Amino acid sequence: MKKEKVYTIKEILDLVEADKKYYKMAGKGLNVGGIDVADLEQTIRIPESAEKLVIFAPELKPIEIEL
Amino acid sequence: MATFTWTAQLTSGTLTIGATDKVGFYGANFGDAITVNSYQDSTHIENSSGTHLCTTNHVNNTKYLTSTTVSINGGGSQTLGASVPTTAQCPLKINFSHTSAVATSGGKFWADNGSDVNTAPTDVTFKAGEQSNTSWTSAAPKTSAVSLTDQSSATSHDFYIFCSASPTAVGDKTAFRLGIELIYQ
Repeated sequence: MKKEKVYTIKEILDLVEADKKYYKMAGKGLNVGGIDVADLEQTIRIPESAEKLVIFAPELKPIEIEL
Repeated sequence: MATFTWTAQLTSGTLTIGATDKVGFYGANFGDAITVNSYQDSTHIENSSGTHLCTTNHVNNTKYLTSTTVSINGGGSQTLGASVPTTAQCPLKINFSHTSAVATSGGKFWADNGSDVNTAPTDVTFKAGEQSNTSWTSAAPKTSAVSLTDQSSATSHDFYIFCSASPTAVGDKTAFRLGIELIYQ
């Protein structure tokens, strides 16, 4: 995953091949990189200094991506 | 501890913008007037006394042309997009750092009159955007700020800003300040 690039949440979930359960958690506690996700078209930027990206949602196993 | 650092990105190199330094929008060269209702042809950094600080390489100039196009450093019209301007071509890089990794959200960038964030600069039309935006924002005052993209957790966050200014009356325009805010957690 490239840094200093803007991604939609859907693009990130696609890139990490997340289970479909994560997609359904937008607006229900899905958090990507510390950002609460309201919908899958929400955008976030991955900073140059970021070392990892953590995706978590209630009752689902966290996904940790080294950057 | 949280710290903001403003940096001017020059045509070659960078220049840290000190707390009392100013970003200056001018005509073709430092000190040149801008025709009323036209946008700047050059961008500079000066100190509180008005001394020119970017004398060798000037600040990248992003000139507003239309709501979706820009002239970069005097070049022809380009449509704003994912790499227009590039991060390196943006005149301003504003860094937010924190001793521990934090995510940022709700970021805003705007211009105001220097004393009230809810009052636009006096006799200035100000346009701005964050790198990768596809259109300019009339970013004054704060209620019309550019919305900055949320950034995932990290200790250092760079915000690349392009901006352009136009006088609506003759004379120096100094009731004019740039601001940024964000939420981190």
